[in-house]
Amino acid sequence: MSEGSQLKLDAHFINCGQSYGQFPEGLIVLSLLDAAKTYPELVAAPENLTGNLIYVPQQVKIEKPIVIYNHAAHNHILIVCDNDAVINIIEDFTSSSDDIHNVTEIKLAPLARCKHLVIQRLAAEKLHSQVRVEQQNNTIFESFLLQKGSSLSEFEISVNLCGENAQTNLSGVFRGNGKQIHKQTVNVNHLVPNCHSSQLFRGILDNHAQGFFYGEVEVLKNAIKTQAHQSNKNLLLSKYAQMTTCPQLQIYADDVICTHGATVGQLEDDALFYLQSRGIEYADAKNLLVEAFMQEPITSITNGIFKQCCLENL
Amino acid sequence: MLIVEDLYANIGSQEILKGINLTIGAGEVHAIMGPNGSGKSTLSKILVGHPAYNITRGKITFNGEDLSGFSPEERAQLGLFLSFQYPVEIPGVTNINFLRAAVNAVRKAQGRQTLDAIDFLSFIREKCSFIAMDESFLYRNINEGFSGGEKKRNEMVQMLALEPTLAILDETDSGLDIDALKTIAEGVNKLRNPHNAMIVVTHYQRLLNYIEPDYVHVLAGGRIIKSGDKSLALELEEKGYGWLESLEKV
Amino acid sequence: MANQDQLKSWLDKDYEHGFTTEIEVESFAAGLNEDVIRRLSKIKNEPEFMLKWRLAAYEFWQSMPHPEWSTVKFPKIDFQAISYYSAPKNLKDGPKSLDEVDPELLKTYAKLGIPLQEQEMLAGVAVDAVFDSVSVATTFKAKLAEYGVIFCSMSEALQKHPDLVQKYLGTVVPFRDNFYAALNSAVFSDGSFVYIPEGVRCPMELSTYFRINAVATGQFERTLIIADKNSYVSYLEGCTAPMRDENQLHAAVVELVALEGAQIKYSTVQNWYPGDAEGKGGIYNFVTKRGLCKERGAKISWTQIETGSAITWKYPSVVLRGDDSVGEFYSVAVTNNYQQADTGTKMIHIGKNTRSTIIAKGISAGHSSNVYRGLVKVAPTASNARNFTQCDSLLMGPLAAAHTFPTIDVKNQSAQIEHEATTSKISDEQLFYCLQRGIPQEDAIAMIVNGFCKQVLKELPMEFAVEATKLLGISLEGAVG
Repeated sequence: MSEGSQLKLDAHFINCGQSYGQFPEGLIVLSLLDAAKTYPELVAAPENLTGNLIYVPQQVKIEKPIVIYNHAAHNHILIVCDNDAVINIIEDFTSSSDDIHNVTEIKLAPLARCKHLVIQRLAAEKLHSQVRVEQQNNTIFESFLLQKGSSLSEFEISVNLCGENAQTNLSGVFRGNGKQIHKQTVNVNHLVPNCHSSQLFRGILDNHAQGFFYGEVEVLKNAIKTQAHQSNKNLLLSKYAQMTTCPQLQIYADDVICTHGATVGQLEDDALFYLQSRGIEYADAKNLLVEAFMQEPITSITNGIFKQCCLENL
Repeated sequence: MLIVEDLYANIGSQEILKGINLTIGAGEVHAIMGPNGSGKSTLSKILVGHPAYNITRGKITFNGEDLSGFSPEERAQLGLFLSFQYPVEIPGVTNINFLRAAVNAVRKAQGRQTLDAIDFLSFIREKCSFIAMDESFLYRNINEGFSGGEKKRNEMVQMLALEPTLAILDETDSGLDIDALKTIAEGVNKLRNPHNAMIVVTHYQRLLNYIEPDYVHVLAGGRIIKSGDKSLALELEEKGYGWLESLEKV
Repeated sequence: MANQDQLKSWLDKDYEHGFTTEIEVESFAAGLNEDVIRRLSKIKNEPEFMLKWRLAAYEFWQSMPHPEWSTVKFPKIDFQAISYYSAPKNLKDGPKSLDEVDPELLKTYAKLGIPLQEQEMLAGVAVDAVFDSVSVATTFKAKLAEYGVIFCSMSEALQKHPDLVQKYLGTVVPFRDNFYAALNSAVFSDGSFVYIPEGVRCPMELSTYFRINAVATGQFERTLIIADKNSYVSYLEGCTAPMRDENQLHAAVVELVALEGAQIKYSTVQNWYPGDAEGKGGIYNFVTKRGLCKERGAKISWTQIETGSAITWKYPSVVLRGDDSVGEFYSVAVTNNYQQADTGTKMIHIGKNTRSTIIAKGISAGHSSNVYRGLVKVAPTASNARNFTQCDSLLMGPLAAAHTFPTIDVKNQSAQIEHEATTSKISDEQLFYCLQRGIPQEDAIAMIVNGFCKQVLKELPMEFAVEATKLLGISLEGAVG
C-alpha cells in the first residue's frame, strides 16, 4: 500500500498521523496520540498535533525503507532509534491541499544509524519544515534534501552532536524554476570532541527563481578534534535568477579542522559548446551539465535505494 | 653512538614497541625491515622525540647522553635527522628560508659559523646538485604541490644541508620508481662516512641494493625478532614476511 | 601539542610605544552639543558649507540608536564624557616649516620613528603627522606641488581647496551611512586630504601617523583621497597610541574616490593599544572606510595589518560602480588576550566586468575573538562579475575563538563567485617538522604564522612590510621571501 505516496519502491508506507502498531521486524509506528499513551517517556501528550512516533527498539535493524507520506497542514514526526538500531526513512512531500508546517525530530541513541531522505515535489503549496537531530556517541546520520516543487519551500535542518565519535553527513539539492523561492538552513553544532560533519549542498536556479542557503557550523570550546566541512555551490541559469549564500563558521576550540566553500556561477560556455559540437541539442546539453553539477551530493548518498529514488525524482 | 635499551612505547593507550634493543656504532648503516604495523615508523619517531608517543620503559642514549631530557629541536641540534615517510606541507614558507633557518639554528647550537644569505645560497646550490634537484624548488613552498618523489628528494636536500650524525630514513623508497630511488640512494651514499651512522627503515629489500647495510634487523609485533647482515634482507625477500610468523613462534 | 606558555610569550611582546608626551594642550571641556560644533568650525575658520554639513550630520546622529553587534561586547560609551578638540597650544598659528614645530613634538615623532626631517627625503616619504587633533607639519609639499599633487591636512584643504572638498566629501560615506559616520561627520577635527591630478603617478608613498595623547579625547579623523583620471597613488597609514586606563574611541572615516583608470592603494598597519593582559584599557577602533571605483577601469586596494585595539569594527569596502573596475582587500587581523575584532569587507559589484579579490587571514590567541564578516554583492546590472575570496583563521590556544560570516548575494547570472575558508590551528605535524630540523619552537611558530600571512604581507609597500612583520613578531627575512 502506498498510502498516498507516489514513490515506487519496495518500502513500508506510512500515512502521517496514522497508527500501525508493531511491524514484524520490531519497528513500532504509532500516531502521536496513541504513542503518548503507550510511550509517555518519549512523547508528551500532544495538543492538536498530527504526527507519528516511529520507534526502533534496541538492536533492531530495519533495512527496508520507511516512507512517510507527509501531507498534513501541521505535522510532527518523532523518530527514536534506541541503542544500535538502524532505520532508513524517506519523507515524501509530494502533494497536499494545504500549505505544510512540519517538524521532524530524530533522536539517535549510542551506536544507532539513520539514513534520511526528503523528497519535496509539491505543486504551489508552501512548505516549512524543520528537521532536528540529536546524536549520541558513535552514531551515524545521513540526510539528503531534494527540493523541487512548492512556491516557497523552507527547510531547516539542525544537528546537535552530543556524543563523541558521532558523524553527520548532510547534503541536498534544490532546483528552482518559475518564481519559486527555495531556502535551506543548515546548522551543525559540535558539542563534544571527535565528531565529524559534512554539508554538501547544490542549488540550481532558473527563470525568476530565488535561492537562499544559510549553513552554520558551531564548534564549542571543548569540542576538540572536530572535523567539519561545508560546501555550497550554485548555478544561475537565467538572467533573473538570484542566489544568496551565507556559509558560517563559529569556532571556539583550537584543535579542529573546519573548512567551508561557496560558489555562485553559470554553466560554462566551453562545456556547452563541446557537447553541442558533438551533435547534442542545446537543451539536452544544458540538462547534461546540470545533472553533472548535482553529481557530488547525489554520489554521497550511501543507500542505493535512496540514490535511485533521487535520480528518478530529480 | 646510539644505544636503545629495552624500549617500550605506546601511542594513546596502544602499546607499539615491546622491548627494543639496538646498538649502532659510528660508520654503520642499519636496516630495519618489517611488515606494516610492526612499529618501524614508531621507532623512528620516538628517536627524534615526537610528542605523540610515550616511552613507558627503557632508555635511549646518544653519544653517551640520555635523550629523554631533550626536546625535538635539541635532538636535531645534537645531530639527529629523520627523513619523514609523509613529509608535511607548510604553505607560505619557502624551502630556502626554511633551510637557512634550520641550518643556522643547528650550526649555532653546535658552536659553528652560521651562513649569511649569499654564502648560504652557494652552500645549498651545491647540495641540490648532489641529487639533481632543480634550484627552482628552493623558491617553492615546503612540499606544496610536490610529487611523492620530489618530497623525498626534498628530505634528502635537507639531510645533505644539515649533515646529521645519525640519519633515520623512514621508508624513503615508498612510492618511488627505480630512477628516483637510485638518485636518492646516491645522495645518501655521498653522505656516508666513518663518523656518522644511518638507520634505513624499509618495507622492501630493493632499496638495500643501492644503500648497502652493515646490519639488518627484522621488526615485528614491536620487537626485533631477528638480526643479521645484508643477506638477511635477501632471505626475507625470498621467503616473505610470513616466514617471520614462524620465527615469532619459535 | 605546542606549549601554551611559549605561545603566550611569543604573543606578549611588551607594548613598545607606551609612553606619553608632557606638553600643554588646549582642549575643549568634555561634552557634545551644537555649540561645541560651532566653536570647532569657528576655531578652524571653516567655510559656511562645512558648518552646515556638520550640523546636519549632528542632527541626524542624535536620531540614531547606539549600534550593537552580536559578537562584540563593550560597555556603553558616554559621548558627553569626551572632549572633542585637543590641539597643542604652540601650534595655534600653524607651522610654516619644521623650525616652527614644537621640539617636544618632534622628539615624540622621532621616538615613533617618523621621519619628519628633511634628510629623510632619501626615504622618499612625505609625512602628514597628525598630533591629536591638528596636523603638525607637512613635509615635501614643495616636491609634490611640482606634480600638482595636493597632500595636506583636511583643515588646510578646506581653506585652500574648498571646492574640491565640497564636491567629494560625503559622496562615498554619507553621514547617514551609520552611527559613527554621522558622529565623525559632525565632529571631525582633522585628517588627510589628497588629490592626484589627471595622468599623474604620485612620485612617493604618502603616509600619515596618528597618535592619541590627551586623556579621554576621542579621535575623529576624516580622510578624503581623490585620484583623477589615470592617476596612481599609494597611501600608508600607521597608528600608535600610549597606554591608558580608560578606553579611548577612534571613529574615523576614510573616503576614496577613483576616477577613470585611476588606482588607489591604501595600506594600514594598525597598532593601537590593545588593552592589557586582563583586558583593561585599550582603544576602541570603529572606522568606516570605503572606496568608490566611480568610473571605468578604476582600481582600489585595501591592505591592512591589524594587531592593536581593544575592539575593532571596520569593513574597508569597495563599490565597483565603473565598468571593468577592480576592488581588492588583503588583511591580517591578530587578536590576543581579551581583544575583540569584528572586521571584514564589502565588495559591491554594480558595473559590468568588475572583479574583486578578498584574502583575509585571522589569527586569534588568548581569550580573544576574531570575526570575519564579509559581503559580496552582485547587483542585477553587474554582468560578468568575478570574485574570489579566501578566508583563513588560525587559532592559537584553546580559549580563542574564530568566526567567519560571509554573505554572498548574487542577482546576476553571469557572475562567478568563489569563496573558501578554513579554520584550524598550527598543525602538530608542521610544528614538529620544523623542530626536527633544529629550529627552536618560537622561531618555528613565527615562520609558520608568517607563511600563513604571506599572501597579505607581500601586498604591503616595502617600508610598511618592516613594521608589519615586527608587529607579527617575526624576522623580515622570513616575511619577504
